[in-house]
Amino acid sequence: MIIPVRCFTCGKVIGDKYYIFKERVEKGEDPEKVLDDLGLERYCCRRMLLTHVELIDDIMYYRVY
Amino acid sequence: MKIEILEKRDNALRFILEGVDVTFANSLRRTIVGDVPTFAIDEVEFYENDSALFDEIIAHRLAMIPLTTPVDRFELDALDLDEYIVTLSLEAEGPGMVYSGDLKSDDPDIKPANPNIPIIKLAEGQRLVFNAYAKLGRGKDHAKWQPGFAYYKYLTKLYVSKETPKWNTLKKIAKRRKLPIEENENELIITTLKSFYLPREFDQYMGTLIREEIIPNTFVFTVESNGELPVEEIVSIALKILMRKSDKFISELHKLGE
Amino acid sequence: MKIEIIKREKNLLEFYIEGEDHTFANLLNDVLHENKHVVFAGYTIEHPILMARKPRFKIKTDGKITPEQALEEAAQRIFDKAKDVLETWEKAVKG
Repeated sequence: MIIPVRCFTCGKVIGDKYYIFKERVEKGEDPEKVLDDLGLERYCCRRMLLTHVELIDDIMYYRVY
Repeated sequence: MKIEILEKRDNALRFILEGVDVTFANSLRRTIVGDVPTFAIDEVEFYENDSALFDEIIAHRLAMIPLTTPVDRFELDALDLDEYIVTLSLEAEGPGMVYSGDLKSDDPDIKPANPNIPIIKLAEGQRLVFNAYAKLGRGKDHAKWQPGFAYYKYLTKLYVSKETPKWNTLKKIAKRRKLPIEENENELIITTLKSFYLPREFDQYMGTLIREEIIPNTFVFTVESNGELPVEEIVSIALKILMRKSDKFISELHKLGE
Repeated sequence: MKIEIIKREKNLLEFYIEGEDHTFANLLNDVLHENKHVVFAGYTIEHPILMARKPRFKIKTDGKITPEQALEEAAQRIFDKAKDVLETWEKAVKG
């Protein structure tokens, strides 16, 4: 839905890094280099950014009554 | 008893601790993760919520945001915690993304440590109004109160005899990972400050030409924090908590004897 | 932290500590083994959910010192070691 605030396994804060990652990868950079630049060295944190699907843009028009 | 600091980045610290046994190192690691108290949001009161996510989901996301904890205003190494409540509030509307920097707190020392965390995205005409209450707590009750995490490993030396074929590849790998190397005419000695895994082709020589020896009572600790407390304070508070626990135990024993 | 005694005989002491878990109990157990006059020392947590904060200790000495004296000496040793590491740490960070 929307990016989780912390990594599920180790608890490092990753919520602020997703939009920077998406912008740089769409411009054409290599994802491995972007992840290293953002400071994520364990693979539990890297999979949180690499395999996230953002659905909030389609869902936010529906309301909960 | 010696401590040597290897490297320090803004929120992470790595040091070598010499002169303790493995039980004390494990107790120190468990105290850092589970017993050092910090602030986190505990209860949320919603007045209006038109967004696409349920109340509980937004409350869970708010609880996971790290809040800064002032070290000198509270006694963080006491065994009973202060009952001090901080109120954080938010009122937002309309198209756009709500970030953690928009939360307003009534105590200027206790606020979100990172202002760029997205909380929720609102469409045109949707409103979100709530009050959140933050308290002190320990990591062993809920993971939102953890101040960071810590791990340790033994310090070992790897002796590679020069009769092993292709021993130069091991030297190149160690140099790329920045481990200290010593060399004399028969052997190559690598000190493993970070974990060093042998490539599979060298497995057959393990035990005969390549051996690994543990330096006794020496550990390499790494402590990382999320921004709530500075890293050096976390270790000092953990050691003071251990001192207070053993002190309380002795006074309980004396009370029994009467 | 409260101590609840189950059995107290000549050189044997069994008790519960309320409010602690493996963090303190394992450290106390290991330091007790370093004492030469302690014959048996061990701890257990009887159920991981219902009794999670209540380890159960059993200590037996050989008669030259009482179990309470052995416990007090072990706790004092933990205090001194933690204080030693704290002083070394403050010097290493500030200096």
